[in-house]
Amino acid sequence: MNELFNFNDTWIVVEQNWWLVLLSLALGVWVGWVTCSRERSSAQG
Amino acid sequence: MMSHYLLELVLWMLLAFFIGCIFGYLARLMFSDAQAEVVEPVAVAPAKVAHVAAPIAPRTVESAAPAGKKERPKGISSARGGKADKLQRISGVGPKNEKVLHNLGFFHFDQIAQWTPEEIEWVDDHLKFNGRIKREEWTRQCKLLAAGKEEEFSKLFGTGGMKSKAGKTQSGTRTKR
Repeated sequence: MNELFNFNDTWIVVEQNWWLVLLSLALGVWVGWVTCSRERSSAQG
Repeated sequence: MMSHYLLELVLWMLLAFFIGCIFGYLARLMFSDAQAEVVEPVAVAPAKVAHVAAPIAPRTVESAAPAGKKERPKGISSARGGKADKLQRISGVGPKNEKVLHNLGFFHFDQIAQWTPEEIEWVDDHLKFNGRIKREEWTRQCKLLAAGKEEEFSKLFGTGGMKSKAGKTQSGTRTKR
């Protein structure tokens, strides 16, 4: 039976494209930060 | 298989993005909480706090502060005589901003009227108002309100939360500048 998900196999993808994953993480941090800032400033009215 | 490889990559990127979003959101929350702790109202000895509004020194508060010079204005721990002024009368201040000002230790018009340009810069920066305090001339409004110059205030800034003839409270509606 074929394995549906093999972590070691899929981790290779991250290792080979670590900069893309890191970029996504940084983008996510920025989006989260900005979203929170906007919510707070609109709440201050 | 190339498509399988790409799918895995996209999934990892999405996962990283969502983790980043949560991390960024929480980091911003923690950062602002830490900032709020620093700006807790400064406690002032009750003996020093007179119930009567302090005389307002003639200052040119509307003039621009030197770039980068910010100074936190001193607030008080509670309203003098337990009764705060209705800060919502200031054109540009709503219920939320009134609460924010209370949290910073400002309860009276004369307090805000005495802000220096550096202090205005600090409050504006702290509340991320982008120059609203200067633009809406809060200090000028407060000078008039503290001095009881209702007529002049109404002429320049509107009713400012006064009751209209219809009996409805109008919060800081500006009629003429």
